[in-house]
Amino acid sequence: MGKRLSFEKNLEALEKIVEELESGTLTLDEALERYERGVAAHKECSDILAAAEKRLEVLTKGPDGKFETQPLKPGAGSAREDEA
Amino acid sequence: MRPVAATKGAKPRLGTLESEGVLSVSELTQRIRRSLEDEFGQVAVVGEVSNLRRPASGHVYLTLKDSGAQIAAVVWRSSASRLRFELEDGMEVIVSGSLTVYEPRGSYQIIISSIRPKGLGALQLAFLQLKDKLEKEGLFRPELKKPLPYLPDCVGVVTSATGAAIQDILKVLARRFPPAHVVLRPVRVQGEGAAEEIARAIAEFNEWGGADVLIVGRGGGSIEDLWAFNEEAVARAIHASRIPVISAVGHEIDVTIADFVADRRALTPTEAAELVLPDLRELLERLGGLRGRLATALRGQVDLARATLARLRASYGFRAPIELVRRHEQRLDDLAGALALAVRRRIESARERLATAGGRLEALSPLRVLERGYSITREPETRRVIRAAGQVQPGQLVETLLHAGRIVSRVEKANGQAAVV
Repeated sequence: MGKRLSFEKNLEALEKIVEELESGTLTLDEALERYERGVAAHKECSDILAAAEKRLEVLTKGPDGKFETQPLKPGAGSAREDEA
Repeated sequence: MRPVAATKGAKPRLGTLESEGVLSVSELTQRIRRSLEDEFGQVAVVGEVSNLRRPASGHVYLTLKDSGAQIAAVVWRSSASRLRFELEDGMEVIVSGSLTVYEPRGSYQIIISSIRPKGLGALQLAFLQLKDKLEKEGLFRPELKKPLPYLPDCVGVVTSATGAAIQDILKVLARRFPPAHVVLRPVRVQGEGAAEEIARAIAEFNEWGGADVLIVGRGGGSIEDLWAFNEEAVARAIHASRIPVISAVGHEIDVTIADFVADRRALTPTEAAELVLPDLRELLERLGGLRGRLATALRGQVDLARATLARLRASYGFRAPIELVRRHEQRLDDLAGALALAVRRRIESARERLATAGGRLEALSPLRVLERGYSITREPETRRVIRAAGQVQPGQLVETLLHAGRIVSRVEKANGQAAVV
């Protein structure tokens, strides 16, 4: 959840910073400060994307009420006709 | 009425009445009932529902009527539980069942085995009724719709493990966002109990808490196949979900109750997969573009600052003090020049005066007197000029300077009188 929020937040921040910088209304000090923050936000977003990792799992609930996830077997769902 | 055989069930004391053709109430009623059931058996009747009663027993009692007549009807509990829609007074229905007599009251009634609304299909009606009910409860309110996460870490899917939906979702995600993390909770999506399974799966995803968004749905099928997604249990589970839910049932044309309650309706499971995660390539391009704009914008800002600085330096206001310095410097140079000139003039005039004085000095020089034959005598050691004879003693050496050369001589005699030469 944190990761997702952080991505959205950083992407939005980055877009806002770019717009501010492009507006040309900042002082040079402000511009440099924004630039630094923009680079950091960009890095955060890139890191999050780079860390995403393909996983296909099945959620099961054991008799003790605990949840487990197991890898989804490849080919599951190949029988397209059978919805039941 | 046919004449009744008097033998069966006859009792001696009723003998005379029997012979007169007299029947007991029960007998008559039984005969009416038999006769009715033989004559009518299974009937299908259209009429309006009125006087609807639902006692605790679970059986449903009603009166079917039209403008000219009315007939009592009953739906036994077992049939009533299979009704997909809600019976209401005033509803026009077509019922099928058997006509019979309720002996204790001596009234005839229809035992309804199936009932369907007139004009609409039963499922359609059920759909409309549930939609109306949930809408009134506020389950479809737009402000309840939760926004979908922009980049979910984990996508939960509630559908059949063997259906088309999960395949379509995985196919789209493999294309759009290859590193997607998908967790499937397999459920039956049609048939008895499917709705409850779907509802439970949604609740369990919430209990587990590992997914950021849920896709709930199935591939296309008949309205009966999709029915689970029109059931209240599923609608309630979606409504109760803290995790945003995307409904994805059937094809574009299929609209289910789940679609109304879901935070977002996808037309198909394929579309749900497109909604749930962004296109990774586009996202990377966008990020790259932003990075480029960031750098360009900063460079622009720096260039601008540099240009401003240059302009300021070139401006009169900034130049003025330098001009002032320059003017002073120039004045200084001028003064220095004037000073040099003045000094040179003084030197020259001094030199002239010196030459003049030198000329006059020349004229006064004793050497010029010597030219005319005069001489000067002096003591050679002290170079004291001898002006009086008394200054010397006989035998003393004296030096005499002539116009040309000098003579050294010894004094013979010194006459103390001043003499004219």
